[in-house]
Amino acid sequence: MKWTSKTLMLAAAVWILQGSMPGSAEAQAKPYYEGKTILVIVGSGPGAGNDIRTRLFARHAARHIPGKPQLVVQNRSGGGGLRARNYLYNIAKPDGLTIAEIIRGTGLQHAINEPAARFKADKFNWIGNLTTATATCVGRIDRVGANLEDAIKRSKKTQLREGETSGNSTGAAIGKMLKGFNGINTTLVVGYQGGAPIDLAMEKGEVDMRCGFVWSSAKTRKKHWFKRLGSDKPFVSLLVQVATERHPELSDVPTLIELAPDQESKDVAEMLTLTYRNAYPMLAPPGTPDNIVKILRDAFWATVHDPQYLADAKKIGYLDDEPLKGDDVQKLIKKIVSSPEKSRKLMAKIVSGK
Amino acid sequence: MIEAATSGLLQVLSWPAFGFLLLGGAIGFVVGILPGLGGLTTLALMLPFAYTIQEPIAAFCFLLGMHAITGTTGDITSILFGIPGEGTSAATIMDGYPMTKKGQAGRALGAALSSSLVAGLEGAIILAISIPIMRPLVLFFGAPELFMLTILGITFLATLSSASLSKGVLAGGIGLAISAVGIEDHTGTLRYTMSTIYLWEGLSLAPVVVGLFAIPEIVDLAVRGSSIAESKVERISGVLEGVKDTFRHFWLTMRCGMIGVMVGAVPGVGGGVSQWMAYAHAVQSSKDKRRFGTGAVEGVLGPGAANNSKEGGNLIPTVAFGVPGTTGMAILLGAFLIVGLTPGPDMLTKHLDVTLAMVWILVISNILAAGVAFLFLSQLVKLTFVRGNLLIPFLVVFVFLGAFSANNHFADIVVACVFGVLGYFMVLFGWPRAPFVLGLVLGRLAERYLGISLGAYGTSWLIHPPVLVMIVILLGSVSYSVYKRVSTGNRTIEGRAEQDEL
Repeated sequence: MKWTSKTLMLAAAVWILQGSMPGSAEAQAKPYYEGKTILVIVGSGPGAGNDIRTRLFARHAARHIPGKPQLVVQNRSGGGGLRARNYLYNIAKPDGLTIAEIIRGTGLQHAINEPAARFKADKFNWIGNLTTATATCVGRIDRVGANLEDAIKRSKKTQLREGETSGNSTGAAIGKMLKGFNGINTTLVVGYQGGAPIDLAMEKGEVDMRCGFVWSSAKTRKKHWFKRLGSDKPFVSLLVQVATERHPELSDVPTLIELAPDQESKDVAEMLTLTYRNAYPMLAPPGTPDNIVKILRDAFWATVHDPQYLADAKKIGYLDDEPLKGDDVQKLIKKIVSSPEKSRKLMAKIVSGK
Repeated sequence: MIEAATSGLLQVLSWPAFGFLLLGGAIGFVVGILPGLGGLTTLALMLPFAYTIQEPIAAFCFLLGMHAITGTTGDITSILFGIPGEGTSAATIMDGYPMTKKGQAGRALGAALSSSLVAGLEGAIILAISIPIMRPLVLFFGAPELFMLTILGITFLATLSSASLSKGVLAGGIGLAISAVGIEDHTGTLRYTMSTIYLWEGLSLAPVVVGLFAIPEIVDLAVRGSSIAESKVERISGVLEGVKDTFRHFWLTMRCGMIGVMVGAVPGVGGGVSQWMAYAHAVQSSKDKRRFGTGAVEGVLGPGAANNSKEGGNLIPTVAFGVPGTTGMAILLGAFLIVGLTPGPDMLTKHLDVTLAMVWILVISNILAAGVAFLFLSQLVKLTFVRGNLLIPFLVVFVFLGAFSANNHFADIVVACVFGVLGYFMVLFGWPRAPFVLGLVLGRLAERYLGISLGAYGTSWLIHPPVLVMIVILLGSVSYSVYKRVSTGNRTIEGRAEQDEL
């Protein structure tokens, strides 16, 4: 072989590139993350439920990442997580040093071709999901009665008012589907600044029901509202749950998918159910090297099973978290974005209200 | 109740709780005084310490103490440099900064801090008194009542337009129009978002007020080439004068403190609103409205009082219902859960001592903040006599950091610059900026509460008894203002005619 200057330069370039690649042999010899800082972007403002969850995760994760990097949490709210998603997909370097926790909706926004979404959800590298969520619709007992059948009957006489943050929220989408599936007569009252103000509006009698109420959160914060949680003066009854299978504690409450009258409706209900299932996901930019993704996924799984993490989670009221592995989230997202086109269009119509 | 109050106090004063109060207070002091170090981000950063502290009262000493003090000290930079330390402390600029320019920074700071202290204590006392009626009180105010309150606030636009009613009302109208930027709740329509996600949530208050108020002042400082204080009237002795002002206008301070509590108790209104409403009330209740904006001490006392008392109000829905009034309270709500407490009815019975300990934390941290700030005032006031061109680079950095802290987004800086240009021209052509900000902060709220009222009650909310009472008050207040303005106008015309005849 003739060693020309071009060959030498090429060899040098390959050597330099190899050395600088995160997944190189040298990097493997010395932990890639040693002495580095991982930026964990949260797609909502300080104090939001997923912000608190992410900070809890960041507090314990470093122990499980070889090289023990620092994890710094940064809030990047806007557009219901769109800003963070667009940033992660288009701007953040795929070097494993920027990851994010962005509340549910990434797959759904891709599936319905949200005009402002500049990403393909299935191209992200999904690290894991801190917990799945079983969403429910609840209504004041004095207005809706004991269950969904009662609510449907009563709503024929007096229209039920459903409180929501906006007409485009996933909670509102549950309500709209319920209305379409079984004819419950409801109207949306929107403009509340989150779930807690809607709860307060229910107590004031301003609205009669709400959807998107996460069962694990109800168990922590609203025990006194439910007979099944030991309240002797229950305030609400459960109408429907959004889950792939009935939650063991809610075996008498139908799922949204069960209520769907035809296959198309079932597909749409499933899209929404899977969206709630992927409630608190963590993700990395597309193009992140496979070996780095593996480190992050392994660390994620070890963290969410770490006794210290679980003890802290318990303190904050996260009693029955059900985390999902990165592989499973990746499959789940794939399923959402590859839903039949007809269902995706119908879902877009439901979400946009147009 | 007395037993719980005593127990709460003893627990706050015990070790290590009191140590945590001092530590949290020290952090809050620095964060509050430096624009750009966002109080909320710092609070979120410090939240995980609650896991380590574990003991509920010690954790609240640390976090609530820090939060309360951030509000108190946020006024300092508003007064000294015309840059709000926190997005919620912008209204103090209106008269605080002109006082500084007149060489009365000490007096303005003394007034702001002492009114903050007095009203902070008032807020804590109201929080304590309202414990038995907390839940019915919060449940009483539905969307229709809150809508009427925002309309009452919007009528203050005219009050803040004493120099020129037409310019003021127009500025307020522009503020109202700009408040419409963002996603419309009901249909999800994007309004004036110019194809940028940044504007989906509407304009954040911090970059707008920083641009509107601080940038024109920096330009003015550069043009003048002198120090901020144009005349060396007083030094530290003025601080005492400011303290005396608080007691000279004691009832104004108390009323503005009450506004802070009331507005603070309404979830989702945001910290900035109470200060602006208190400022508007200070103007409205003054006999000589023309002094405002040129360095009237009442214009410092009002917002200074509301800025601190709102914390007591904020705690009411947080403690009684687990509904945080502001983002700061949302973070504290996280602390409740971490230390094993569930906000709600139990906080008013089983854990009453913890609730009352929070009252004590507010009281003690307010006293500490004011005390420590008074020690530093003489040094801080000296900065206003430093040559402008030495200060300007630091001020510019603070302005941009203060704007950027709103969303950590480059667009925050662009917004600050755009509103800086707007503010400059408003000053140049004598357009009042306060009605603009009031329109901006109240517009979104008015729309939200009107939407909820119509959605929940149709038009029947208009005959709800509390709404009817508020309509009567509103009409009475507006009619009286119009009558006064017309009669004053007539007297002025008559006066001029008499002078002409002479």
